[in-house]
Parts: sequence; structure tokens; C-alpha cells
Amino acid sequence: MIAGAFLGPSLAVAQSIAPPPAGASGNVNTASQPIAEGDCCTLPALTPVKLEISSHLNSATSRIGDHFIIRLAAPVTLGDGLQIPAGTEGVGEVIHAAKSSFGGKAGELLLAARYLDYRGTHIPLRSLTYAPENGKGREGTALGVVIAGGMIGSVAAMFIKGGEVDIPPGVVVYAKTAAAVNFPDPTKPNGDNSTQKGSLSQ
Amino acid sequence: MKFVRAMSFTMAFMLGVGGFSQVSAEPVVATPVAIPAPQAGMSQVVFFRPSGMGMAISCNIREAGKMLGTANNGRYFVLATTPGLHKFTTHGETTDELTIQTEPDETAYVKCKIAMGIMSGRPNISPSTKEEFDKHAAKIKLSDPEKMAKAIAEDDAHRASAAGPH
Repeated sequence: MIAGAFLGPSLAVAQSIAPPPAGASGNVNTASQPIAEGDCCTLPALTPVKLEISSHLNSATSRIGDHFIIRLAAPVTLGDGLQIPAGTEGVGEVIHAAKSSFGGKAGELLLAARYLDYRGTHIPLRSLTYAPENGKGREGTALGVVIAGGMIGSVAAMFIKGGEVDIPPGVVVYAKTAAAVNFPDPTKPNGDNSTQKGSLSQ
Repeated sequence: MKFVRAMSFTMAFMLGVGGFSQVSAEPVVATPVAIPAPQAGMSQVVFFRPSGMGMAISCNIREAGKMLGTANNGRYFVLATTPGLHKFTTHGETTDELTIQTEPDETAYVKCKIAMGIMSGRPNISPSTKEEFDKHAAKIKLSDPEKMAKAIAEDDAHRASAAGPH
């Protein structure tokens, strides 16, 4: 109960996030589709991205389907000096949540990264994990962020508190883009300047 | 006191026998299980059950009521499936659920353990990793495909008869 009250505000934040759309939106294309006229840059599918979970999540209080805020922790370069800046926000989703219970069952929490929202363009994400692309555990956690209370000794163990899984804000995770995304040319008059050249602070 | 001495002797004898058997046994070569990659565009889930308590209790995995496979003590099986959300259940004294999202061309791992219950064991399925599977891989075997297919067919028939004619 105390934990629930403590985590209440962060859950309220998570629940206030608009749910992701049913399908890919914006200029999302599959990798095999050609770049549309006026597009300048393509973010390929399966591009590794470094993210930060901005919400406080806990296996005892999070619910399946809850959405939470994620942020791009490192800029993504598209080419020609164009970058999607760090800090770009997106949405993650609680895939599975179960609190610890009788019989020594530990708390469980499974998360997924849904998309980054960069100036109205949704960049779909997949394969959320604690390890970077070439790091240990990449394949094993392919289904998302896997945090089970029984995994003592793993990276996840540091988030276990009293049999529950606790994820404080600021935890860094990794994901991949789920599909190629085309961005309009920012130099064209009708472009929506959805990408930036050079400085990330623009 | 006599009882304590007798127990001590018995324990020492058992330990001695155990030690002797370890010395005389052939060295066990750990052979890791290599899980092949899923078919292109598909995903797969490895359900495994490390050796532990509740040996007599099967860990039957279901989705939407349909039995998909079973992992007995020290066994595993691989489920080929479509990418997306999947809600798996297993039933014993209680029913445990696990929702996972499988990704294209990737393998997910789910561990089954039997926890102590009041009348019988309580199967628990939880998310796992390749690393955890590899730790147990030398000691677990693939579930017998024929036995599993037979169990699934029997379960399908049972469910069909329970549902009755429409």
C-alpha cells in the first residue's frame, strides 16, 4: 500500500500519455518501399537507439497496457549531418506486470518501446533491452525488457526491491527501429523541418 | 542419543556413497542446447523447466485455452509463432499468466517453475533470457515431440467434448 501511494503520481503521468496509434503513422515505410518525393533522409529499420525510461515503474503498481514516457538518450544520425536530437520523447508500454505473491513468486515486469515522436513523425520501435546491440544479453532479452525477480545476479537485480521489480526514472535501455522512416527534406519550402542539420539544440 | 548416532552414521554413509559414485562416474560433458533461429519473419518462444521440485507436475502451456506444449521436469520445447502479443497460461493449483511480445526473427525465453502450494504445486511461468536458459541447457532435454503431440491431441479432444455440439 505504501509503495502504491508512493508510485501513484508517476503512474498517473504514465496513464495520461496518449496511447499509440493502431498502425504506424507519419512517414513510416517498410524497408522495401521507395523514398517518397520530397523526402531527404531515411532512418533504416533496425537502427539501434539508446533510450531512457522517464517514468517510475513497479511490478506491484504498474498495469498491463500502461503507457510511460521514454526519451532518446543519444542522438540518431540520419546522414548529411542531420540528427534526431537526444531528448526526443516517445511512448513505451507495460506488456506484463505481476506483483510478487505466495510461494516465493517474484514480481515480474515486461516493457516494450512503442515509438518516438519526432515533430509529428512516429518512429516505431521494437526489441527493448538493457544491453546495447553488441552487448551481452542482446538476443536473450529480445522480447523486450525482461525483469524477473528471480534473476539474481543480472543487471535487473539492482531494480528488485522486496520481491518487486522497481524501475526508477532515468534507467537507460536500448531498442531498434521497427521500420524505415522517411523524413521530409528540411531545405525544401514545403518540408516540415522534421530533421535538423548540425546542432542538436536547434 | 542413539538415534542421533544412528542418523549421523546413516548420513555419513550416504555422503560416502555419493562421493564414491561421483569419483567412479564418467565425467559429464555439458553440451549446450543450440536453439536454431526462427523462420524469417517469424518468432519463437523457448519454454523450459529446470529440474526442481514438483517433478510429477507438468507445466502445460496454453494460449486462449489451447494447449501448445508441455515442459516436464528438466525439459524444454520451442514454439514457433507469429510476432506480436501472446498471453500464455499454465494451470495447476492456481493459474498463472504471462503476456509477452515476440519480435520478428527473434527468440524469447520463458521459464516454468513449480512453487509449493497448499494441496499441490503451483506452476509459475516467468520471462527469462538466453543466458538463463544456457545455464540450465546442459541438464535439460527437449520434450518428446510424439508424447507432446499426443497430449495436445488428447487435450484438444477433451476440450471439444467439453464444449459440446453447437
